[in-house]
Amino acid sequence: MGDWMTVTDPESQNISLYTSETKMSPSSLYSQQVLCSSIPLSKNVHSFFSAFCTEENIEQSISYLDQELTTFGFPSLYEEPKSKEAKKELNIVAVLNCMNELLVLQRKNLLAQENVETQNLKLGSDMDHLQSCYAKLKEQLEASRREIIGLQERDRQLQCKNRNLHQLLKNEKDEVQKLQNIIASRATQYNHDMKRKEREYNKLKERLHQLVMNKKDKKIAMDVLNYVGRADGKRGSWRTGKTEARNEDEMYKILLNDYEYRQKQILMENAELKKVLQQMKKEMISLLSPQKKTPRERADESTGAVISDVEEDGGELSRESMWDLSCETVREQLTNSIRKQWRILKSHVEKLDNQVSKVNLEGFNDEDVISRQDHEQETEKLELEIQQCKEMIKTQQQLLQQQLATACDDDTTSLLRDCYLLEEKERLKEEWSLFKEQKKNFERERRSFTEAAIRLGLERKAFEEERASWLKQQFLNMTTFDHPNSENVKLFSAFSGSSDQDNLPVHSKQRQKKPPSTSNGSPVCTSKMTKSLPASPTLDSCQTRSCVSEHSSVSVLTVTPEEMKPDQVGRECTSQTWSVVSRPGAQPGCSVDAL
Amino acid sequence: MNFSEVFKLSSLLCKFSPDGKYLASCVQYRLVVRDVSTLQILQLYTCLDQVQHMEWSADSLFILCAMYKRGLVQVWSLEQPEWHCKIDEGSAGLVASCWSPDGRHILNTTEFHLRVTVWSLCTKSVSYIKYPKACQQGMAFTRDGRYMALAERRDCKDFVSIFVCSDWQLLRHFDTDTQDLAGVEWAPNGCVLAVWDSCLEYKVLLYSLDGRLLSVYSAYEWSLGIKSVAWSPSSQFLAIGSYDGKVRLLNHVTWKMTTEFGHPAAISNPKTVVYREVEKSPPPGLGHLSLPPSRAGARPLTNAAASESKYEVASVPISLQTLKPAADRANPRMGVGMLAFSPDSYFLATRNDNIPNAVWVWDIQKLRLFVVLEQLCPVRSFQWDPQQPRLAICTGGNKVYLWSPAGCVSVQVPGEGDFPVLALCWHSSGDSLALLGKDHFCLCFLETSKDVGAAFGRRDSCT
Repeated sequence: MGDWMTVTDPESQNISLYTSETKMSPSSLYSQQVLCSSIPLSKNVHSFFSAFCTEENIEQSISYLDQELTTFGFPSLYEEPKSKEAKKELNIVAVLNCMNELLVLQRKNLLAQENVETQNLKLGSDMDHLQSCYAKLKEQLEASRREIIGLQERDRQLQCKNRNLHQLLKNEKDEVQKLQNIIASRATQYNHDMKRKEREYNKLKERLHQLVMNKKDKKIAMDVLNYVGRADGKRGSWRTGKTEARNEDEMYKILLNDYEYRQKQILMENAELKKVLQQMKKEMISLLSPQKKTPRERADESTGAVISDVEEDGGELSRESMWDLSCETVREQLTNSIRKQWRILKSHVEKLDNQVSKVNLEGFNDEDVISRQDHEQETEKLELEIQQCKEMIKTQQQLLQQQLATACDDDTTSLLRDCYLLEEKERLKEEWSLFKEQKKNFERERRSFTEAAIRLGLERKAFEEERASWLKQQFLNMTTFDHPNSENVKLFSAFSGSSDQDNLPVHSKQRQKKPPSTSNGSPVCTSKMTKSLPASPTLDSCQTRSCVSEHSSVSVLTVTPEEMKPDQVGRECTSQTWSVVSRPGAQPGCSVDAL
Repeated sequence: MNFSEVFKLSSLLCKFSPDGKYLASCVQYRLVVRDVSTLQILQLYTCLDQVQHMEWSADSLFILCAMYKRGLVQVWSLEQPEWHCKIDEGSAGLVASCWSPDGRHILNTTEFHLRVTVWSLCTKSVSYIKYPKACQQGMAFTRDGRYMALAERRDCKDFVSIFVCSDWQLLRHFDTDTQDLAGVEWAPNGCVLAVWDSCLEYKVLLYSLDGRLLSVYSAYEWSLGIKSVAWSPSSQFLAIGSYDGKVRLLNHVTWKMTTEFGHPAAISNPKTVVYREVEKSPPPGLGHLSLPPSRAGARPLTNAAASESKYEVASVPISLQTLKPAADRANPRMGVGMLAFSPDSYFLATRNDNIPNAVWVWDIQKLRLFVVLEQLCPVRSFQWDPQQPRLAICTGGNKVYLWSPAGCVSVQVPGEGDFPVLALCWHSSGDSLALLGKDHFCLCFLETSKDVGAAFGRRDSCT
């Protein structure tokens, strides 16, 4: 499209016009005429027209035009001849109509032409674009073809090289083989020569030995002042068969000792390993048995462990006696059981690993957020605890110092005191937990109380309404007049207010404190009541009660904390545990809990 | 840490007596015996020629001095200074001489390994053992001194003979499946004999005392094999150092490899502590202070090699200085050439010969590298304290280095002039250490084991 836009400049339009003209010129005069009529009047046109129609040939030109037009399907320019003799008259209306039609046609044609031209241009540019694309692709094709050829060439070269290298490798291998053969042959030759030389050498040695010995070399001698005693003090013994046997005996004794020593060591090692195995097995069993049970029931944990221990103890005696035997069956039993346990442990660990990975994959983001909150809370709690601990330590230090100042000589007493402190702490802790439990109970009670109170209020309300309806009915019975509903309501309210004096303050208070949702509820109820006035009173009351109870669930939540607070505090203050625990250190935490 | 005065010495012949009471040293043809505690000369013996080998008998009563050039052995008694004994091997020659464990026999190996002559000091009897093999370690005694294993070569085959030392009776004689046997070594419990092949083939054979083959171990083929072998004092492990720069530990139950200790030049494990010896640059003021003539005369300026040094703990990804071994020479300087277990079997000290400046200490309980000590000079030798895990190292400089699990120190040997420590040997109590130089030796007295910690705490004052 961009191309198209650039092409549509006035010059090109002229050109296109020109081209169209040239194309159309051979066709007919008429079309030319049509074409030219669109162009503003020019001398050319005038001259053209003048050339076509002159003063002399008006008749001919008209008839010519008429002929032409009729051939194109236009009505004749002449009037219908009334008689055969009568001369054909030029029908001006028809001419004008023709003219107009021609003009319209001309305009249409022009439009069509323009469209065609624009399309032509568009197509031309498309053509150009496609041609350029084609050229590009052709180039690419050429390039890739060249590349392929290059690669093929390289491949060929590499293959050639590879072949050469293979050849070289083969040659080298051959060479290596040859060299190895040479080495081997030389080695054998060398060994052979060595042996020969050694034999010669031995011969020479022998000869030398003989010579040296035969010469009766007087120099070969030991010149000693006197012979010394043997290191062990014994006399040298004669070499006999006995000594030989004794030597053998001794040698075997030494060997035997060595083997015995080694066997002992190995036995010891074996025993150690067995012990380790046994212990491992025990630990595995004790580790595995509770793990298997935890998902099902935790209560069985201790009992299960006890049972397994009992089993172990039962087997212990026999096993220990079997250790020394190192019987193969025992060994197998042990190894098998350990293998089994190990497999169980392994699968368990794998399961755990899988779970961990799953958890990591799934709930990482959510838990991260939650954990941050938890983390903050935890840190706060921990900080608080730290502070408490610090205070505790401080007080303890003070106490210790005081005690030390008073009696620093006796260490045992201080130790004992320390013990007491610890005990005290323990006791306090216990009391603290007890108190907490009590508090919880109280809270539960309070909740039930509030619920009961609400229920009472509701019942009372229902009762009032019932009474009101009853009164109303009585009133209606008394008065025969038909009252509008609104008045009735007003009356009812006035009645209820006057009739029940002591109930009023509570009622009004409730209304004031109730959020809009509950206050909305009461008119609904009343309207319902008034509508269902004709019905029996018992049924009506039931309906209202249920209706109110629906709303009451909302009201309970909003009302209880505010209304019951003073009462609750007062109750708690009276309780004994509260006064016990309300130490300065623990109070803030307690108050937070109470809130 | 204290040092004795410097005494003369030749051929690095200086040994403590096994009972720890005496110290024998040789100066040319003289043998000097001193009291260890006072260093007073107790005896002075004069040999017939320059002594080439000297050895105490196991009961510390006799000293053997061998003069290989003359084929002579002279024995001296400590109790009876006038007692003398001279053994002449005559034209057969002499290449090695040693005591039997009972201290009453002397085993002389003649030239060309024609035979081993067993001379008795108690009787006139002389025994000959023919066909001993000329190899790295062809003779080994059990620790209790009952048996001797001797490598033999007959008819181009290797044999091992086990003798009863009390009467030199042959107990067992068996051939070993080795190409060229290089050494034999008894396990400390005296029940297993390790036999290994020459470096051309990696092969270790383990024999029971009664000659049964217990196991054969071979780590690899073709390339150069075993270079050093050591038993742990508990007899539990056999450490084999080889030319591939690895130590392999065999266990005593299955005789299979327990672990493999490589000695890479780059250490990256952060659990390993690398102590690096660095030269201590003297404080700038000190040079000026020592310049005044009065002080300069008292303490002559030491040269660069004798300058002080200290250890620094190097940050762990570290590469050690390596030596490229000449591949075209025989006995290339590569592989684990030195191996020593600490007396409690907890540590193993090794040296890889193409990283000559480093001593590697391995933790045997955890079977991993524990400490690497990188010295400034190639390590000459190291030896464990016989009483506790404490390693003494010397590098041929004028310093001695001590390592223990608590740390390590570099101690300069005081005294005038240069004192290059070429070798060292511990006193059996572990309280003192003899430092042997080319012409001199001195004793280094360490604090008693109780205040070792204090000594290591004061390491700065020592260095």
